[in-house]
Amino acid sequence: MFKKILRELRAIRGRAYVRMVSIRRDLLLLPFQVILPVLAVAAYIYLYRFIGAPPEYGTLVLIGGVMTTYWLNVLWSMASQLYWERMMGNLQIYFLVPASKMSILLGMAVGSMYTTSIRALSTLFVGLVIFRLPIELKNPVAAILLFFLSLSALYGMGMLLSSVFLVWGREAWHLSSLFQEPIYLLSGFYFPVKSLGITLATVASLIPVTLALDGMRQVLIPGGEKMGFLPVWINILILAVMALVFPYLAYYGLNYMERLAKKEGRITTRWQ
Amino acid sequence: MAIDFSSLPAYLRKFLLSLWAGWKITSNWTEPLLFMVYLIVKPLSSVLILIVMFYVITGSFTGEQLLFIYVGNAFFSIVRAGVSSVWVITEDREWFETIKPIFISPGSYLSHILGRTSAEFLFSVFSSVILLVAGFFVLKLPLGINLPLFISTIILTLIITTILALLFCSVAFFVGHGGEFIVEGASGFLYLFSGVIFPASTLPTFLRIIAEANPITHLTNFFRASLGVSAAPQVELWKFYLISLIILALSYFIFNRALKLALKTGMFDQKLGH
Repeated sequence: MFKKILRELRAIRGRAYVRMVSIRRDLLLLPFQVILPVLAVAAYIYLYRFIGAPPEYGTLVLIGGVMTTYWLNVLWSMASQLYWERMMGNLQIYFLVPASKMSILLGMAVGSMYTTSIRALSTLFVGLVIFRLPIELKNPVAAILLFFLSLSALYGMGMLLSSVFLVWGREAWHLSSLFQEPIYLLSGFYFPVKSLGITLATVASLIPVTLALDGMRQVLIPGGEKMGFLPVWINILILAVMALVFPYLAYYGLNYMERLAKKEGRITTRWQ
Repeated sequence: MAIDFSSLPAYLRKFLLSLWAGWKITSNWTEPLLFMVYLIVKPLSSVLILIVMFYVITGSFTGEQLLFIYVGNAFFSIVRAGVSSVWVITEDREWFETIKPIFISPGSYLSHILGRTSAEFLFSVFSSVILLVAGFFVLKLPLGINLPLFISTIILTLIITTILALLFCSVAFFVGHGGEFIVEGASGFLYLFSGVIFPASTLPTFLRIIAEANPITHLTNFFRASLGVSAAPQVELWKFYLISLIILALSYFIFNRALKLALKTGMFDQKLGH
């Protein structure tokens, strides 16, 4: 039992290491990873200034920008990862490793959280130091809970999606691409989600990032309560449920999709 | 009269075949109808974000500012096609592993990149047209057209997109993976410094200099002027053409140097696999 746990921990560490080390292996990529994504956030801040919005809306965009980095990471480096691995011919090696696929995905998630947090921090730094956006830590416990629960739920969702992407072909890439702008719109990355109306905002609440953004804005922006769709404690509660349910579903989804992929001979299929 | 494909010069054949391959790679993963929806949903969502942001603050769906934002954003998706050319290198090298056969086949590798980028350019033009038509009919945006200026602007856009493709592919040769970071990062830069969703005058003075020196800012303004959204920019069109062609020549030089260096250092076909 102890040996088995140790093996799984090694698998987590091994997969996380690749992610962590990659950020300093490709130094030419560093500005594109860390500095330039901030600029898209800055564009939305200036847009709000252009149309005469109060400064709090800049903070709203900043929180959206921070969560965008995690959402993009979940889409491109978690959900589609098994598809990339199949394209590169690595997937069969994953299935030969004497460790659970969940441990490999968990390692991927841990490594991703580390590298993405560097990007997220740079966005936060620019927003707070350069733009001097107003921020108020009204409820630190709620803010911390919202952040960590949303990451657990998001990466759990990424693990679940990766099992689906395992059997898909090139549509996986396009689906990831499709999950960008429409989700930015639906989840209210750059405006309060309640502006979409009750029906759309409720549907959007199935995505963890919607709840995280809604809750964090209420506890971090001065006067943010007015922007809220659901009470903060409900956001926390739903995120806690999601943080448990998504990895659980991912476990079963991965086993099922693995069987299906083996049956249909898709594990070694490339370029389709 | 049928054209004998084999009689065309090698670079043109490679360009056309890459254009055709780009069309196939981008479109044949699903049914045509679903693909059309896919082409429309992404740009439509991005413009809806801006419309909702505008509505949250002003409580209105009309106004000169909205017109400025809407047209600028519709145009930006075309410019973005140039940056997306980075994917050509990533796909050829990392995924499809076809970079070597493509490189040694008749015609230059540049013809291939331009062919693939042109496919992306055409898709973007389609999305932009749909957005503008929707803006005209659904949002009742007061759009007109100055045809000579519009055609001139589209030709200029083609030149600028080519410049972006050459420059960003030059960078892509030297990064093992992470095409998505280059596309996202560079798009963010251009989105901020090209007067796409707000005028350059909104930026602080030291950043305004970058925006005003950026040719895409003027190009976006020419596009707006061609649709009757604003007055034509102060820059004379022929001077703009001249500057663009000089930058194009410079970009071509940079691309060739980058390609030679990538071949010399072995990075051209280096596959990281992580």
